[in-house]
Parts: sequence; structure tokens; C-alpha cells
Amino acid sequence: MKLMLNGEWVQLEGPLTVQDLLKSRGYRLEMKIAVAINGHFLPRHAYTTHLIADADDIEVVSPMQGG
Amino acid sequence: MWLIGDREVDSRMLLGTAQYPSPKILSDAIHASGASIVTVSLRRQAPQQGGGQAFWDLIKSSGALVLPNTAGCRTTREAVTTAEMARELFETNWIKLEVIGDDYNLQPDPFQLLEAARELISMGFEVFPYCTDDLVLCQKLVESGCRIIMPWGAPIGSGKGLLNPFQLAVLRARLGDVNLIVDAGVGKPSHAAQAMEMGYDGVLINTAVALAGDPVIMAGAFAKAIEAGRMAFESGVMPERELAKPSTPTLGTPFWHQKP
Repeated sequence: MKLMLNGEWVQLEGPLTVQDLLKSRGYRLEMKIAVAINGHFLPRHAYTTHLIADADDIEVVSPMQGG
Repeated sequence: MWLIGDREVDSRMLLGTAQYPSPKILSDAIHASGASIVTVSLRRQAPQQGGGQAFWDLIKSSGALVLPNTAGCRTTREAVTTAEMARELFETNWIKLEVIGDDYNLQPDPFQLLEAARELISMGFEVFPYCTDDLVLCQKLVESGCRIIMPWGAPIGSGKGLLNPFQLAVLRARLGDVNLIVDAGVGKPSHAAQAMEMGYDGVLINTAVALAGDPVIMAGAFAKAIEAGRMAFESGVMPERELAKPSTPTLGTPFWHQKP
């Protein structure tokens, strides 16, 4: 399937959960990350059950300096 | 002590964490400022870079309370989603709500801001809205449930100080019990002192410290200015007069002679 991860198109074999996606892209679950899919927040407890759909737009963010 | 968002804090200075020359200087500046609250943000980061863990460790070690922002958001939807991600990530219901409406001066969009504030408050957030100094907007934000209002002094990063002190004074006079914090545009400690002398409850500073020749010393300078301004407000600033009035007693002035 083709999906958008942090603004870039990515081709991956499905089906896969959010946790599968994160692991495949080098994220570790103990990292300080938060996820939104198609503009909506996805809580951490849903990573193992939420299935990615084709053309999903996924944001993965981490703490950063800010004003 | 200052009660803000149901937390008691020692310092009325809020410090941003961006643009410092190094993590060490940021850490030292937080310490020198004595700030009880620091602002942070969320960004896409490559997992190979550690996912922001080093920065997060630095912030945690400072002991300061964390105020995440929604910087860069341009719509209610973006701001609400960012706030939800921040709540999970930073384990706080505090959110510095920024919804930008204009790229040229990074002016907040008052319409999207108010809509986002209403939605976030209904979701249990403590909203710190970054807004313009428009009285009616600020009143609507208070009516929506905001207990803290953060009007700009000047556009973000401009360092121009309080461009409209009259309007900021109007906000102070009309929003009696609301925590008012000047956010954005402060360039030097005297600007911060000016806001505090007017009765503002706090000042949020980032660029003026981070881009100073010596950010650590400047952080301390701002801390002293904010404390001085608050003390001045609490002690009661004298009223202005149009004419001079001698401070030295005139009675007994030498060389005075009765007219013949």
C-alpha cells in the first residue's frame, strides 16, 4: 500500500498496524512520539490495533524546542 | 507565589526553549532565569536522531513545568490535533494555543483561535491562547473558559517591545481576575518590566534571551526586570503629573529673602 508519512509518500506491504509501521520506519515504542492519522490524533493505546489504510496521511512527532 | 492553571509557581517569567546556540546554553539559561514554566513544541523528527529524547531529558532535568505550543498551526483542526498529541506526549493538559493567520507578521487568526479554544476547553485543556490585544477577542476567550490570556506585545521575534501599551492597559483594566501574560515581541528587560509595572501577571520570552550576546546573563537580567516590575506594581506606582513639583522641601531654602 502507499501512504503518506510525515509528508512523504512511502510504499509498504499491508496489512499493517500503526505499531508495525512505526517499527518498520525505525521508531521504537519507548520513544517520545505521538501520532495523528488523517488529521486526527491516535492515542498510543491504539497503535497495536489500528490498521493503516491505503493513502492514509500519518504524522509522527516528537518533542522539540519551541517558543 | 503565583497561581496559574491550578499550579503554584515561584517565577512570573515563562521561557521559550528555541534558537539557543547549544543545549548547554539553553539549560544554563533556564537555570539563570529561574523560570518555573518553559515552552516546548512538537515536530517531525527522524527516529535515527533519537526522536527528541535528548531535548526532553534536558527539559525534565530543569524541573520546570512544561507548556507545549501549537506553533505553526493555521486551522482549528490542526491546533486541536496538535494539542491532543502534546497532551499525551508531555502528560499535561496545558496548551499554548497558537493559530497563525498571517505569514508576514505571524499574527494570530482570532476566529480560528476562538473556535479552537472552545473545543479544547470542552476537552479538558487549560488553554493559554496567544492572541492580539483586541479587547472583544480577549473577552470572548475568557467567556469560552480561558483563565489565562496571552496578548502579543509586538509580532513574534521582532523585539519591538509593547507597541500598544494603551490597549494592553485596557485589557488589564477590563479583565480583572484573568492571568494576563505578555507573549511575543519583548526585546529587552525594560519591556518586560514595563508590562509587569502595568499589572501583567507574567511575561513569556524566547528570542530576546536566545539571541542575546550572552543568553545566560540575559536570562538573569529578564528575571530581575520581571521581579522588579512586579514589586513596583504591588507597591503602587505614583501618579503622573503634568507639572514639576520640588522633591526637596522649599521651607528654609537659603538665600531667600522677604521682599521689602
